[in-house]
Amino acid sequence: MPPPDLVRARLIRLRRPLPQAAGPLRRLTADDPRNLLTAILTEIDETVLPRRLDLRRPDGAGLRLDVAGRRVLALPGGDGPLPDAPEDAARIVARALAAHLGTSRMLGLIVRRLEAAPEVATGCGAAHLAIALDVPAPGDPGQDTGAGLARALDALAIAWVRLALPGQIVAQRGAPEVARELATVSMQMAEDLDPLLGAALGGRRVAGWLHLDGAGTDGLLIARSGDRVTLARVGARNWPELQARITGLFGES
Amino acid sequence: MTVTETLDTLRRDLPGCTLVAYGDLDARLVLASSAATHHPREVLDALCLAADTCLCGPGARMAAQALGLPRLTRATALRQGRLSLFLRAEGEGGDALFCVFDAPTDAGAAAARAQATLRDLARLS
Repeated sequence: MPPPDLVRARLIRLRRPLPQAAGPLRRLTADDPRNLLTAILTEIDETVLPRRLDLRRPDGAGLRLDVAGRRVLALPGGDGPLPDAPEDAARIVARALAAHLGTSRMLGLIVRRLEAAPEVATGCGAAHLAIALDVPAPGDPGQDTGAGLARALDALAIAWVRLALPGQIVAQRGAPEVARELATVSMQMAEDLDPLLGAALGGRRVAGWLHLDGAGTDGLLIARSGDRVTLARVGARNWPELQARITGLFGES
Repeated sequence: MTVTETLDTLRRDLPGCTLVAYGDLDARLVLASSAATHHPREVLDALCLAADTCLCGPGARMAAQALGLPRLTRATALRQGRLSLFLRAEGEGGDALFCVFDAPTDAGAAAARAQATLRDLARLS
């Protein structure tokens, strides 16, 4: 039987918090600072257990995010606790992220275990952060959505054009005359597309679609996925089926 | 039935609908609303502004022209599973109805039902 002092010493040691186990330094890189932000949001979106994400710039400066349940719950070293409303919390985290990242296209990431998630009711998830940062949310199918949208439009739209912002047509299909008209309209609308989609979708780079019509007339569909905007003319009869297809394509929240 | 009761009934009749608001696009003002949870005034104002941009803004005017319409009367938007429906009354007035859905819905059927309510409300005003 071990001496009582040894048992006591063991028990005391066991009660001590475990040292924060740090994972290896990983490198997050992107061709564009916005894509780097999306990569960070992906890390947040994939973090279920309580973790501290330490984002290190090449100059050594760090920003720490306490994350659990795929939500940022605290900004250690920030100006106090995050507000309860996810939109407000996202604005604060987004500001910190954007300021920390600047124009960098590379960050080091160290993930440490947290003993427990910070006691915060809500925090903010990647979707709210994507809106606050005005970048695509993680999991935004982007290219896949674009391809699926093209197939749906080929089947059900009268004609469509796809633009790479700003105003450059990268695809044009369907009834030639209508497609030409759409191309002209897309050029005329170039400056108005962003405000229009921003009002409808709640952010300049949020993926989604807007359909405009006269309730029962032909309609103009404007869809955004990734950095592409698609304009399509859709007959009233085909709109319900097209809507069902693209709603599934753009997914749920 | 009061305007609020009419909006309550409409919201109950539309599956997945969390907010119905009746407003005036000319005044950019929500006049009455019905919602599952409380929405601050600024949320309703933002909704009205979004509807105004989608139905009456410069981009909307160009879209109407391209479609050969005197003006747009319906805008449907979807992002992240959230559907918004903006309807404008036929005729010259700025009466409009806005519906927000947090669950998949038959937008065509919802629009038809909401359009009938808007016609009734616009007649009263």
